[in-house]
Amino acid sequence: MEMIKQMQAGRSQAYPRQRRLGRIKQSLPNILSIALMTVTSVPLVLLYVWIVLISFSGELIGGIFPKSFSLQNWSFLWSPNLVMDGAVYPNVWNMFGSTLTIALGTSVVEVAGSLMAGYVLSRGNFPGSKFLLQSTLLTHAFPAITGMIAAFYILNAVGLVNTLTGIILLKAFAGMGMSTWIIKGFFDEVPKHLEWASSVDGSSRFQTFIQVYLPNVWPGVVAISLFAFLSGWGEYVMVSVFLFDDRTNTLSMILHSLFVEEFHGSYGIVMALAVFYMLPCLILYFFSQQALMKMKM
Amino acid sequence: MVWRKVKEQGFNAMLLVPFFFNQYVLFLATAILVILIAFTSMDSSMHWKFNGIVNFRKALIDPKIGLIMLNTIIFVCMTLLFKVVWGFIIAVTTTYYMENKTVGSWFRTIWLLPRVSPGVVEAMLWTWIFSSSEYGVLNSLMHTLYGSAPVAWLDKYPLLINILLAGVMGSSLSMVILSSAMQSINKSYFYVAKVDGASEWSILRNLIVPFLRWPIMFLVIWQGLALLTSYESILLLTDGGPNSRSETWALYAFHKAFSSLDFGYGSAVSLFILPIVFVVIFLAYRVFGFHKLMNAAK
Repeated sequence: MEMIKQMQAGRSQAYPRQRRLGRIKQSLPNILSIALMTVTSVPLVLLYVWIVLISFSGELIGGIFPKSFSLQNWSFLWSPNLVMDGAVYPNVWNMFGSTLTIALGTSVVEVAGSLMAGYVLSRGNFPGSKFLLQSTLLTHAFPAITGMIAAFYILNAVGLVNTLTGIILLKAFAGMGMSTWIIKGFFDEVPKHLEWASSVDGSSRFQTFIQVYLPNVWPGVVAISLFAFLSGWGEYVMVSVFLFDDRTNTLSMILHSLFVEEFHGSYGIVMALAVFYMLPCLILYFFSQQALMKMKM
Repeated sequence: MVWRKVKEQGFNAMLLVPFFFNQYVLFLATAILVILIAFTSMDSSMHWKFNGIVNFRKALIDPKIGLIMLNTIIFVCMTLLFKVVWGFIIAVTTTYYMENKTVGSWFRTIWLLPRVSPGVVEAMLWTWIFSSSEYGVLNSLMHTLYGSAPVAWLDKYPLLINILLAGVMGSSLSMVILSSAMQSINKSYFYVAKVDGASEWSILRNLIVPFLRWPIMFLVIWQGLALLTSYESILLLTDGGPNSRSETWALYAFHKAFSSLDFGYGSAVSLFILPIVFVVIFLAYRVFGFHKLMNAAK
């Protein structure tokens, strides 16, 4: 031990420059990685920070640099209508309500359906269960545009076109195959003896489900609800095609029509609306990164 | 005993109703309806008027179809390349090269942002960056730095900017998949390689890339299919324009069905994608099996 230390001391005295060079060379990948990631991540973060700053600023220098603080752009929150460049749009809270209804409705229907199916497919051994499970592959790969045209016909036939219910059902069913597959994976992990123990104790199947299974698959439930919510909240295509009533506008629709029509000057209101629309997503983002990182959907 | 079993299966069947309805009733109805509609001249009046293979023949001699096919191929290949390569770079730098793991996870968190924010907000950001007005981000920067006049970027490079948008949004997903694959590699492989004196380059080429081969393979299959059938980001950013220069196959079907309200023709155009999807899925199913394929799809 003593000898090794002496040798090391001797070497470092003999070749101090090589050692320093060696150390630099060793940490070069680390430095380069941090540099590359910083250079690319900073503009990304800056964009998001920037739209928040612009939404809270009065005047803009050169149309792009915030100069003074103002809540003027956010006035749509407390005024009856959203007004931009003289054009009057519907009340923002109504649109918030429709967007939230779609997001929550989609999550509830999708998660309920997947939870029930995932439980049965994982536990129940019945003829055809394998085939049923494999069919998720087909529905998952089926092109959305092909489904849209038929969906329009079906919604029209059952009278759900131009309703939030129609959108919720379409979105929930579109995501159900994948969510079921994910939650089935969580049910598979629950040890079977827990269920036996519970049924020996005299619990009904429903009680067993609530007391034994639900706590164990909870992370999966959180994850699929989160994704169903984000997907419902961000939905644009279905909403723009299947809703044509001005009273049931969603935030995605209004934001899109604003930035397409008026993107030459009054950034402030567009940016404020974008921040307002993004806020629930950002809150979920800050509180559930673990779940987001795990989800590969 | 028998009664209990029946009751239990009845309970199972009840729980399966929504899923079963989705997988068989709704899915089959969708597939049959689209195929039937493709043989009609259905428009917004929703009348069934069968006209044989007119729609399919029309699609093949459509003067725009050559450009659209080319756009689709370029869009799918370039976006796929971008999102897999960039996702790979983020995953490997943040999980392996960075010595401080916390710093690495910060960067990964940042690159989750495009995945979480709604598609319309992403499209708005990119419209703002490349806006043709003097207040667009890029035009402002170019003006301050070089004093250049505003450029209509989205008219000049519509397809390229769409590829960038779809690539940046999609790289979050490849980052999540590849970094979780990186983290599941046993660390001792790296130690052994280093003790043996392997260079960083050879560790990357002979250790990391082979380990990530399967996740990358699955990414290419699923994301390639997703890109082939996706149109939302293009619809929001350039709407296929100008002059169909950023129009892709799926978007064209969407436009025909929901802008021109020609449901028959739109269905026929969208059905051309279907064989490609089925062939790819069938081959992947034969090679990898159901479980591997579906686990990769998560």
